[in-house]
Amino acid sequence: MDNIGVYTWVGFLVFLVIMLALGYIGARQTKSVRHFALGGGLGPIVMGLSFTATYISAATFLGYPGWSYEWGLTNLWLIIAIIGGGAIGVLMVAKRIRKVNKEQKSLSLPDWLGDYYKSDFLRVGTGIILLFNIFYIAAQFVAGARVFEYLLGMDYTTGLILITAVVVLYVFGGGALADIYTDAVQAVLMAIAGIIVFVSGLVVFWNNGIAATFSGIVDNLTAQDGNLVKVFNPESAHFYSLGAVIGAITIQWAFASAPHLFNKVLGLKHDKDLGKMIVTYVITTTLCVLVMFGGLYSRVALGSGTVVADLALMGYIEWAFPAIIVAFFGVVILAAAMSTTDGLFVSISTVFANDIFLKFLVKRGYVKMGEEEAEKVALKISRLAVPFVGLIAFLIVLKPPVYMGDVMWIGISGIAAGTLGPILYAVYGRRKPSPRAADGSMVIGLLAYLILYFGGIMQSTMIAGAVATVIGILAMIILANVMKVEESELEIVAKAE
Amino acid sequence: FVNEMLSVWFYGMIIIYTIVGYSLWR
Repeated sequence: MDNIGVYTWVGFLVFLVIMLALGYIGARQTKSVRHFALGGGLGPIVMGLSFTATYISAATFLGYPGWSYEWGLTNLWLIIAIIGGGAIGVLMVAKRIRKVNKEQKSLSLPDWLGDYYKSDFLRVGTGIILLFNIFYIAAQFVAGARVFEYLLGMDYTTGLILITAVVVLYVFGGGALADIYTDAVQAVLMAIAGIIVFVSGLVVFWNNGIAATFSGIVDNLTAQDGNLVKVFNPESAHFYSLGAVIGAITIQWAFASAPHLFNKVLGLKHDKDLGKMIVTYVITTTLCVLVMFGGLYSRVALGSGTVVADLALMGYIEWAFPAIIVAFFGVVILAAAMSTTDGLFVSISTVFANDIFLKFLVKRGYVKMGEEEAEKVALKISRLAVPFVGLIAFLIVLKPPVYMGDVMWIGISGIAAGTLGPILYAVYGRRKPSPRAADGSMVIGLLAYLILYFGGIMQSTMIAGAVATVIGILAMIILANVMKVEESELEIVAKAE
Repeated sequence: FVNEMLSVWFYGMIIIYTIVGYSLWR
């Protein structure tokens, strides 16, 4: 354990120095806020990698193999859902978002929706819904804490305090300024790690050919528990039936066509670059999710109950590899936790400072102050938001969750349920609906999710999210058509008088 | 491919790549 600890510390410190240096260089080069927030026309390959990194986070990288370890082959549905649902979401929405955005220059999702529907209720509501991202941050903190716990022999709480402190200081130190570049590096590292894990299992369990090797793995799993090799494992929280699988694919599709995609798609210089970005994203993601096989290998190598599910991947890696590789994986996961969360910290503090304070409270006159003074206060708010958000995320996972993947999905599902109706109608609707329809869809989708998941009606975060998202979209379509009729009736009445 | 679920994964990936490739080609 000593060697691994030393390698991890050295690797982690080297990583921190490189990232802060990149942030410093990035800060000198980014000229304006607008330019900075949209990444300033970076290349499509960097954008594709960066999109992969927001999609495949540290919690994904540790948490999903944990599900494979617990539930076996059925978890391969998740690969299908991520690549299939995700790619289709991007293909459907990416081209049209650019078209709509050429007419209105908006920075963030609350801005974009608020401007498009001309609704302050929607702007502030979307901002508040984006606070669900704190769950996503919390899941990354769990990933970091688990790595510290496993590699450095700390207890979970100490590891959690350490990762929270490091991330908050890193964001304050300007680490997020190079967000897109650190994301790209993270995606490449994860793709390499995914290949290493997938191939290592074939090497370790090799038995005269690929099919025969997989047969051996399947036989071993069957001997442990027959459910581990089923297409729908009744014990799995997410893939116990065909309906559940469809739900998982739906929510992955919603995730890919949702908020954080905007900045990446809008940051490209030319429409032609979209294809390159999408190809980069699909290939890189495919390589990253191969890591889920690590959970299966872990179950074969270690059996049941030897590690907590969220650490099953690390258990396998320590079993199969020398200390330096174990430390490499640890540093990759820590790096991923940081580069995924730093962008979210920035976008949440933007919500507080820009969408709620400047564009709503000050603009509407609820807070009376001059323009210069307001700008100063907004800057203070965005600075204070960072430790505040860090503290809340810390408290959410202070009691360690059973699966970090589920904590992450609480956040994603909430955002998708509340925002996807208005987003899709803005992108695909034939005419502009009444702003009240968008407001209604947001409230109905969000309420449906809160009732379904927190009311305990559905146990799976993914399925509750999928159902609530569909309800939100249907509400949008129905309200848009009903409200349109009402307004045209009003016009007829007005003319008659 | 070996067993039912591994086949779902293997052929599923081929189908998805075909769809993505075809739509980008278009």
